[in-house]
Amino acid sequence: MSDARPSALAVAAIWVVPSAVLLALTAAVFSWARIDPPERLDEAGRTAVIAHLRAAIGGPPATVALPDRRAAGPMLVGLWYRGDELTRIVAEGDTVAEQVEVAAVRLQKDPSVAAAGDRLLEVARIKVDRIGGTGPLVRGLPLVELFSLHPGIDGAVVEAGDRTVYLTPHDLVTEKLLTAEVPFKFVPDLRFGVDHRTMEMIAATRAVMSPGDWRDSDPGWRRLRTDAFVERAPGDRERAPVPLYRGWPPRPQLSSANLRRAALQGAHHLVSKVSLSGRYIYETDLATGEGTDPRKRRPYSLPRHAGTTYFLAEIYRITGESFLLAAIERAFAHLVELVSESGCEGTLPSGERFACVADKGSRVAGLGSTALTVVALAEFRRATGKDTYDDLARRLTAWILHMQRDDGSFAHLYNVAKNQANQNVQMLYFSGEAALALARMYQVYREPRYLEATERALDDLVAWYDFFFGGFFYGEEHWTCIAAEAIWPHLKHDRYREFCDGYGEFLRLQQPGPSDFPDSPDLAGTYGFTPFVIPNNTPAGSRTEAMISAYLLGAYHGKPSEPLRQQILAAMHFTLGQQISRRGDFWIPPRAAGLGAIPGSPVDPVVRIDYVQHVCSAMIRTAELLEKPAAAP
Amino acid sequence: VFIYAGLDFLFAAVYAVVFTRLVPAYRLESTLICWALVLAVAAMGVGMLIRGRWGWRIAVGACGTMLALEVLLLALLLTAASFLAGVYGSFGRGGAGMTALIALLSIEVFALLPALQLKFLLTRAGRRAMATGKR
Repeated sequence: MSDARPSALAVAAIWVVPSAVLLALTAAVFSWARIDPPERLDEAGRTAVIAHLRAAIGGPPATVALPDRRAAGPMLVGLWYRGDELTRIVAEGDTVAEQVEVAAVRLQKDPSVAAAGDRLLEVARIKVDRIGGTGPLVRGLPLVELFSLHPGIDGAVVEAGDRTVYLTPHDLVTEKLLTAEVPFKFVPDLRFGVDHRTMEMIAATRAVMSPGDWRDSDPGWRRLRTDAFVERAPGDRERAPVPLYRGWPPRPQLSSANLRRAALQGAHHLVSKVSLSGRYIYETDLATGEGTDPRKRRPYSLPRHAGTTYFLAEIYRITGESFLLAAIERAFAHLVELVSESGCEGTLPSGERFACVADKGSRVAGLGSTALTVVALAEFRRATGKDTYDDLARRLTAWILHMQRDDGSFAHLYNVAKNQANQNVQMLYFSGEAALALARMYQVYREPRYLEATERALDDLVAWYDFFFGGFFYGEEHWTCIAAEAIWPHLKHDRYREFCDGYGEFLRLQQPGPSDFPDSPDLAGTYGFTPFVIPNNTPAGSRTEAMISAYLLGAYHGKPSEPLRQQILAAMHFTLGQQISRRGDFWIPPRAAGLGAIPGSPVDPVVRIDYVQHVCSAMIRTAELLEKPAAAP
Repeated sequence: VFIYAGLDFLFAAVYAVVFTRLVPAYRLESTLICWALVLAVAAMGVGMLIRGRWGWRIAVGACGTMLALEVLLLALLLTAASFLAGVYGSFGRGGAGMTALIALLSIEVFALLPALQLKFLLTRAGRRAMATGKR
């Protein structure tokens, strides 16, 4: 008995001690790194703060009492005019009321304010960041330092000698410091990680210190969190200031009217990006207002040019808004010009005339450019009934059929000079886009060979997953499901519905709910993996386009899926909150034409045409879904 | 004894290839931990071959070192996870799943062999096989 006791104790110790040590370690590190979310001012508090600050720069006298709440950190007050921050005041004080009084006095004495005229000050918007807590900022540890700030939620403060520099969460977004790394070269759109080196340079510049002085000052960094809100634009100031979370105002209510309005705003934004040549201003940095030059060949994507034009034609078909027509025609004219300039046209061995779309100076034509051009032309035909582009659409489709193999798959690239298809390279999306092009062509022109080719293309796409591991994942199949629904009722295979239902279920597992990530309730409804990588906005749009088609396909088969419908609505509610509106556009210069834009992600100030295209296409189709019950065509 | 020795040297070779070719470490601390694992598992094998009282001591010590290094690895993993949870407010199901998977894999890859070997060495059969002179 006496021999057994130490042995039992030893066994217990082996199990308990390491677990206890590891548990204690976990708890200690968690509480060390944690900054609890700051207590946010309520509507009355926000209104009072802004009213007192506005009064200090020539607004009406404030009549409401300031909140007497204790302040956990300083208050930062910024004055924004047409996308520029004219001045920023750092106000200390034990309470919010004291801080506002200090800020008001400093604003009155500020040279930028003194130099600004009354009209400018009237238009300018006051933004407040109340620092609610600070925590450690880990630097110098590879990988860990990439994730050491919660993007859009955490800012940074650095003390260098006698200087203190505050970088708000919003500063880090507009300086593009939060998506600095591309971990997988083959997924260039997946970017994350804090750019500490540039952050340090910006802080040194703001501290007005030379690199040597900065280094000698041994700067000490910490993370910070803020309660942020902004004054409304002139004409709307009767309403309370807008609270900001991750820099964004609260989401609008999900309704068909709001979705329609948002989709049309997106269309307005895109129309403003079509240059006189018909080529889009491909990317726009909302923070600087700078856009890419449409006269240059790069950066540009012809599939995205065609896809964006498809959306404009689609929303024209649905809404009949006449402001869209001129822009659509210009975008088509550019495609026609490219067909001619690239020399990708001629006669196939069968004697049929063909054409394909390739960019200026490119010897290679991609299937996606031509396929999405066909989709856009067919949509325009559906919307207007005009036969202007019938011949072009048929010639382009003849080339797509030429690129299709007997098993239904496609060659994706084509050497224009040699008139030769490349049978070795496969690109993402192209086969699905080609399937949709064929389906739309059948829908419009009813040529049996288009239907037969659509069926072979869809069967090939769906059958690709017929192996053991294929049952566990899906690739980017959004065009496949849109095509499967587009060809209904001419192809009624239940295998297409099953495939798209499975795709929906797969995506649903990646969709966080409101309580999944406690610090990121704003990400509910999007598609992402872990809270560490802020998801891009585009998949919430493109995948919803596919999910709408999957839902409709189920409804046509008499099996509408309620989880799928809820998935669509959750994603759309998320994207409604990601559109630039007057409520939150204080940081965007007018030359960016930012209204209606959908940036790359909640922490990316750059907009590309296809971000808006996918999200707004999903919006207008969801509006239709909410307005009328799904019925088979 | 020879089976354990063979496995120990095989694991040492595999660790060395993995740490130099597949997942090379770029920081001194990480490199030291990786090579400590290689040396410890190789020492386990050396001890098994030497046999006798000193062989047994070397093997037992190396097994204990391997288990301690595994605890250190788990501690580092949990430190990173709890740091991220602190910064981001939660870890998410995906992150938690990945961490659990990495932890379980590390136990299987680094702790299973030394744990079984240590258990063997501490039994009477183990001592007899190692010819330690103790029963």
